[in-house]
Amino acid sequence: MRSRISCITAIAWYSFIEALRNRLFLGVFLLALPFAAAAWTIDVYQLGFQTRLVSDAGLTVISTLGLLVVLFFSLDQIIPDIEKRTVYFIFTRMPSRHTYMIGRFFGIVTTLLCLHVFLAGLLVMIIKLRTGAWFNEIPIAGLIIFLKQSLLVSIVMLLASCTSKIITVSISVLIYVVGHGLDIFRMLAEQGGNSIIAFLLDIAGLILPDFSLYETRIMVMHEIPAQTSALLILAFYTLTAIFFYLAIGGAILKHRDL
Amino acid sequence: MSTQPQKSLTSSARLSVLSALMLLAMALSAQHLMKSRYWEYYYPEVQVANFADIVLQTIPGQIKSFVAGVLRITADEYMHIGPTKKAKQNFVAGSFAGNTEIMSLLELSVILEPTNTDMYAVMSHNLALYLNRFDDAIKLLHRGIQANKNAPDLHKLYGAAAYCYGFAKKPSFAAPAEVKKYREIAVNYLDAAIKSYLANEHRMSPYMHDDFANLQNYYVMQSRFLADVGRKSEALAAWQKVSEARQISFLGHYFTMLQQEEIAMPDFPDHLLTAAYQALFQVSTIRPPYSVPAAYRFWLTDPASLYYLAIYARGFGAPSLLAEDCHEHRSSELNQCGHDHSTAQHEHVTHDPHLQQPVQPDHVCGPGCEHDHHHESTHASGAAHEHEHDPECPHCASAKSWKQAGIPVMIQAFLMLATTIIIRRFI
Repeated sequence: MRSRISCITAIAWYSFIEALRNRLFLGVFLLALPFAAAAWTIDVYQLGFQTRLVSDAGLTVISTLGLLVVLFFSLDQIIPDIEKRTVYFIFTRMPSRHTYMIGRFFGIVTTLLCLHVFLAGLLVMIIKLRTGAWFNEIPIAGLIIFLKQSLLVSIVMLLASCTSKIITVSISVLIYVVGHGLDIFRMLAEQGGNSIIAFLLDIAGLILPDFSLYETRIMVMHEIPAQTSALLILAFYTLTAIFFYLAIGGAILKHRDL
Repeated sequence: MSTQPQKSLTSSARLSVLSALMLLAMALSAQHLMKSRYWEYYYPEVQVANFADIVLQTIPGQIKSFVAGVLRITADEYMHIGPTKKAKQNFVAGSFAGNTEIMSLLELSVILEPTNTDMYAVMSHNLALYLNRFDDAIKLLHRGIQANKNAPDLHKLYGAAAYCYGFAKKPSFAAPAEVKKYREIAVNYLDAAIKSYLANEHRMSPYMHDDFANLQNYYVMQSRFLADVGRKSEALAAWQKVSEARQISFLGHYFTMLQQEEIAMPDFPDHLLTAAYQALFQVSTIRPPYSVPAAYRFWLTDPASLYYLAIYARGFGAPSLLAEDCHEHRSSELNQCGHDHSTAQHEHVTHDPHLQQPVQPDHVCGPGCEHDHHHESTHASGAAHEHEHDPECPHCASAKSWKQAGIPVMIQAFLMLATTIIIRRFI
């Protein structure tokens, strides 16, 4: 168990360092600066600082940049290792292929965490400096977005373990979109009287993640505090879903003829 | 031996590159010549005044229109939400008046889609009448007029300018000379609006009808402003064009007095409205809580906080509108928990042995009620109610959101956990 944890930690650490050294990550970080400056430049009529607009746009930016990190960096974890054959060397030092996958996952999640802490902190500080008030909803929304994107990382890892880059990106985006509107699709199927599609969507609802649970906009826009119990359930749901997808990914990688 | 063909190859490559560059330069020159010579055809309704405008021209119109639409919807959402609770903002939910949050979004919207005349009107009214930026409002309208010179609803922009000039200075707060000066300019804009309306009437489709920017309103405003600036006969002539139904008003009363040559005529029709202004101030009778349309989406938040969301979701939050949505509670009295307890359907009994006296059937529950109901508590208001109504009762949606969303989430989570264990154990 101890050696397994040390292996996971080592892989996660090197994945994190690898991501930090990537110029793309620096670019993503630097993108935040013009967006931060936009809080000032967008004020065309000199009407003063617009709190709601800045917090809303800021969270959208955080979510978008996080999504870029998830898609680009998760892809750079498993597929290049397999293509460059470095994965053979890693597997000789690993207790199992599951360990490798979990290590890679935690590497990306740590990178994502750094990004979210930096961006959410920047947003909170900008608003605090301009309005003098702490907007506690923003760090909580940042946490919820982080949970959502961690779940997406696990899905990308699962797909990366069995398909090529282009298919991984396409299916990940599809799952992301469908995951946000599965209940709406189901409702439309039911309203259209198509019970078979509704049933199939019910089944899909058990396997696919429900990203609509991570809705933060209402909470932030209306400044309504999130319930702690709901956040705990959300964290539990995210963890189980992550383990589920990583377990499937690990099992596929285990049986894959490399 | 091999140097000769190599040289000729290099020179022919140079010639090709030079020819390509020359052709490119000629194409660009021709393009710019055409654009500058026939600019009215090339940029029929769009101002191209600076580098940013040229860059915008490179983006497809559909994309710009889509983004502009999203920005307008977001601005509308901000308008309904209102000010933040933590920072001081001088506007209220449900009105564009004085709302500063929407202005940047609408500005971007008109930059992307300069042909949307309605946005100019909203922005200019807000800037001129509520945000103390009259000059900016007029500049914006002029920009809009330039960008929509040939549009059939150009009259809306002239009408908006007339409204800004007409009501920026009011007789109650400004000197009469200043009011008259502004209203004279407003009359000019109204003339332009009416002229534009009549010229383009045949081009207007039914969906272009505007409740505010229409010919009848222009005549009403024209007659009123003409009266204000002292051109009484012209005002009466304009008033004759107003439909009879619209003539029944305070302004109509003023013009009747004018026709009868009353001695005690006020300088401005506004002075007739003093009593009406006082009657406008009313106290809101909205009582919480109401339903939310899609409880599932709001499961992260406390149901007790959803009252504001309900108002936002239902638009203006008028109790009559909210009651209409609920078939269970139509035309009934709502109490503080949002339900009608005045009917005999709810049976009230006491569980406390010390309070054995029965509760009257017509009793209306309040937060101070000491009795309990037959049904369980789900409301966060503390009034311990559950409903034997239709299970789809929208008033219960906020209270049920937790159960609705939480249980499937937990079931899915446990299923995934079980599958994970099975995979790890056996695969």
